[in-house]
Amino acid sequence: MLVLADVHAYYGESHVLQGISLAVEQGQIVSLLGRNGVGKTTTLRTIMGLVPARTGQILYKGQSLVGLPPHRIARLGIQLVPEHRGIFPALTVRENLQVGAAHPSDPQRARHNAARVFAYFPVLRERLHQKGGSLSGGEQQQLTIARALMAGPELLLLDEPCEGLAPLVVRTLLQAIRDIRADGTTVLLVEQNVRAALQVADSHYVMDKGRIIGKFSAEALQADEELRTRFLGVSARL
Amino acid sequence: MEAIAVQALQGLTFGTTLFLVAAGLSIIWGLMNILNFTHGTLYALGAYLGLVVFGLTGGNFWAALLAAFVSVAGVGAALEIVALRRLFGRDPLYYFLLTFGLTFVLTEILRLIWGDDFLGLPVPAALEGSLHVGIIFPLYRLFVIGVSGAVALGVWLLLTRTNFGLLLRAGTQNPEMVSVLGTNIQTIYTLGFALGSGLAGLAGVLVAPLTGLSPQMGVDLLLQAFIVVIIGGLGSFRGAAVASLLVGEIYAFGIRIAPSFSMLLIYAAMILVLLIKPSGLFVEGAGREA
Amino acid sequence: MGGADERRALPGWAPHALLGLLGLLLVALPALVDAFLPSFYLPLATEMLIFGLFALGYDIIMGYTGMVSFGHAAFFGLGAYITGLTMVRLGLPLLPAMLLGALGATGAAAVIGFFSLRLRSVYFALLTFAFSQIFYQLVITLTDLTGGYDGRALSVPMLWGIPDVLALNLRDRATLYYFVLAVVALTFLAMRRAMAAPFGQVLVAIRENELRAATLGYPVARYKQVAFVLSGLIGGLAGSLMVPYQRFISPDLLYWELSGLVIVMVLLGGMGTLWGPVLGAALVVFLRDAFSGLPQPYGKHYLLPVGLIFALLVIFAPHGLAGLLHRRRPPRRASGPLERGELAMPAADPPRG
Repeated sequence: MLVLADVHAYYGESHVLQGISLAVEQGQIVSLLGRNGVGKTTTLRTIMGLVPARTGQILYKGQSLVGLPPHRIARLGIQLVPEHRGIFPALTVRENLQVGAAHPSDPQRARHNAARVFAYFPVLRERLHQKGGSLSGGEQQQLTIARALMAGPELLLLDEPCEGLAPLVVRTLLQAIRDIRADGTTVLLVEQNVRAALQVADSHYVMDKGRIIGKFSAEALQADEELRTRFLGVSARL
Repeated sequence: MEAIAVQALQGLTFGTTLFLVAAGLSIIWGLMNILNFTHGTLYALGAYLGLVVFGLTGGNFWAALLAAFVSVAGVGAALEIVALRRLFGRDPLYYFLLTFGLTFVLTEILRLIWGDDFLGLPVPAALEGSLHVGIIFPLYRLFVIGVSGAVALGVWLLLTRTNFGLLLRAGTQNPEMVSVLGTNIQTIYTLGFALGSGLAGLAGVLVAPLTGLSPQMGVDLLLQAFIVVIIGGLGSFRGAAVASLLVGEIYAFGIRIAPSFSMLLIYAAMILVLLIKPSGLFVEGAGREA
Repeated sequence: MGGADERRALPGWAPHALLGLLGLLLVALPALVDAFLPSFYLPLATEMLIFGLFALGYDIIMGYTGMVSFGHAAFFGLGAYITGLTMVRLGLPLLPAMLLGALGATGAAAVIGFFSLRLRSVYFALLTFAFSQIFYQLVITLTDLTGGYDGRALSVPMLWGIPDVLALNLRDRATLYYFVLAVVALTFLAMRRAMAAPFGQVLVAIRENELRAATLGYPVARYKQVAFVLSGLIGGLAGSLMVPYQRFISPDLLYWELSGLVIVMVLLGGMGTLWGPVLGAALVVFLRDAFSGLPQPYGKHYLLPVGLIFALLVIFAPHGLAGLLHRRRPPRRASGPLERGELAMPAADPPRG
C-alpha cells in the first residue's frame, strides 16, 4: 500500500533521513521504533509532504507522493496525527471534527464517519460543545485521531499517540487503534513506548540515525536483547 | 443632552465604519500574520471605484457598494497571489515592509488616475436630509451605521456558520494542521485576504460621501485601525468590534472637548496596551509571544 | 571574531583607498558642479548627505543590531524642531541649537527605547510607530509654538554667534555643503570605528543570535538600548541639519512616511555597511529629483518606482536582509514542533491557470 524507497530528507543543512526504505501492507498495523531524534517523526512528515523528500521514492497505491502538497496527499486517503496533538484549541470539539470532514464535504459520509468515531471515543460525544483547548490530554489525543478519521482515511500515520498519557488512557487508545484497523484502516505507528507498540503492531521497523536497521516480528524483538538495548534503550523483556 | 446624543451617534458612525476596516485588518493578521499596510490604500481604492460605478449606473449607491467590495477583494487576492505569497514562512516584519512598499505604489497609482484634488461622492438622493426625533441627525449617517452593522453581522455569520469561516478560523490557529486535514491552506489565505480587502473597499464607499475622496484618505483611518486591532487584540474579531466602538466614541467626544488631543489620547491608549498586554485585550485561544 | 571581514577579497588597503577617493570627490564636488553641472545640484548633494546621515544612523539599529523601528522620523523631526525653535524662541545661534536638537532627540530615544525594546519584531515596530505619532500629534497640536500643519519659516542662522571667528556664511551653498559634509563625514568615521570595535561586534552578535549573545554574558538589553539611543542621536543630528538647509520646519519631518522611507534607503543601499544606507538615501533623493524633472503629472510620482524597487527587494533579495530577519524566530504559537517556519509546502500549488 505504502512503499518508501531510499528516501533522503533534510531540515536545513542537517541530513535527517539518510535512505529510508520500508513497506506497509494494507490492513496491517506497522510500527516504527527507535530512540529520540532518529528521524521517526520526520519520516511521517515526509510521507505527508510537510518535509520535502530530496531523493528517493514514496509510492502510495502505486502513485508517487513526492512533490505533492499535504492537502493533496490527504485527499488521496492518508491522514497524519501529529505528536503534541495539534488540535484547534479555540474551536469546539464539533468544529474540530468538522475541519476534518471538510474534504470530501459529503454530509452522508461525514455522518457515517462521525458515528464510527463516536463508537471508538464515546467521551467526545459528551464534549461536543467544549473548546478543544479545555480537554484533558487524553481527550485531546482522542480528538486528533477522531478528527483525522473524519476524512475516512485508508492509511493513518500516528505519531506517538501514547506519549505522556496515563496507563488507563493508553489502554483505551490501543484498543481504538485495533478497532480502527479492524474497520479497514491501515496504520503506521511511531512509538517510543515499545511495550505499547508490541501490543498492537503486526511488525516493527527499527530506526537509528536516519536509517532503517531492519524489520522484526514482535517475537524477534523480544528475543534479541542486544537489539533492544542498542536501538530502543530497553533491556528488559516486554 | 441633545448634543451628547448627537455626539454619541457621530461616534457610532465613525466606530462602525472603523470596524469594517479594522475587522479586515484583524482577519488578515490573525490568519496570515500579515500586518497589512496597504489596507488604507485599498480603502481609498474602494471609494474611487465606488465613485466610478456610481457615475456609470446613474447614481446607484448599492451597485457602488457591491462593486467596491468585489473589485477591491479581487485586488487583494491579486496582491496575495503575486506578492505576499512569496514571503510565506518569513518573519511577519517582512510582510509589514513589503506592504509598506506596495502602499507607495498603490497610492501613486491612485494619484495618477484621479489626481490629488478632493473629489466628492454625493449622498444618494433617497438619503438626503435629516431625521428629527428630539434630535436632528443626518439620515445618511444612520444609513452608514445600519449598513456597517449589517455587514459586520454578515461577516460574523460567515465566520461562525459556514465551512469557509470554520476553515479560516482553524487556519488562524494552526495552518499546517488545516492542510494536513486536506484543505488547501493557500486558497484559504487568498480568500481571507480578499475578504479583508473587500471590507476595506466597502467602507471606503460608505465613508466617501461624508469625507470626500483623496488618495490619502485612508492614511489616518489606517492608523486608527491599527490602534483598534492592537487594543482589541491582533486577530480577534470580537476585540476589533469593541475597540472600534470605543475608539469611535473617544474620538467623537474628544473632538468636542479638545480637538487634536483626542488622537493623542488614542495613541497613548495603544502604547499602554502594547506595553501591558501586547497580544491585545481580547485575544482568543493561545497567547502569542511578543 | 572578524566574521564580517572574511569575505573581503580585496587587499587590505583597498577600502581605505576607495574611501579616500570618495572623500576627494566629495570635497571637490562644489568645484565640479560649478564647472559641469547646473548649480542646483549642490543643494541636492547637501540633501543627499543629510538623509544619508539619517539612514546611516538608522543602519546601526536595523543593519547592525537587527531591530526595525517604524518611528525613526520622530528623532529626525525632533532634531529639526528643537533646533529651529530654540533659534526662534531663545535666539540661540545654530551650533548650540543643533546641539540641543541632537540632545533632545537622544533623550526621546532613551525614553522610547526604554519602553519599546521590551517587545520585538512587529510589536517593536508598532510601538516605536505609536510613539512617533505622539510627537507628530504634539507638533500639529501646539500650533502657537510650532506653526502646526503649516510649519514655520526660519531666518538664516549664524553659526555660533561670535563675530569674525569661523563666521561661516551658511547662506552660501558651497559653505553649507562643506558644513554638512563635515558633520556627516565625522559621524561616518566615528561610527565606522565604533562598529569595527567590540561594541559593534556585540551588536552583530545580537543580530545573529540574541540568545547566544546573552549566554555569552553580554548585557543584551543594555547594548540594544545604547544602539537605539545612538541611532536616535544621529537621527536628531541629521534633522537639525535640515534647519540651515531648508530654513523651514514642517510636520513632514516627523511624519511616518519618512520613518518608512529611511527603511527603504537602508535596504536599497545595503544594510550593515554604513556607507550603503548613505548611497541608498542619495538614490531616493535623486529619484525624487529626477522625477520632478519629468513633465506633470508624472513629476510627483517618484514614490512609485521607489515603492516598486523596495517591494522587489523585500521579495527577491532576502540575502540583503539575511542578518536581520533570518534569525531564529520564536515559535509563533504554542503548537509544539509544528512551528510554522518548518512548514515546507513545496511552493504551495502550481501557479494557477
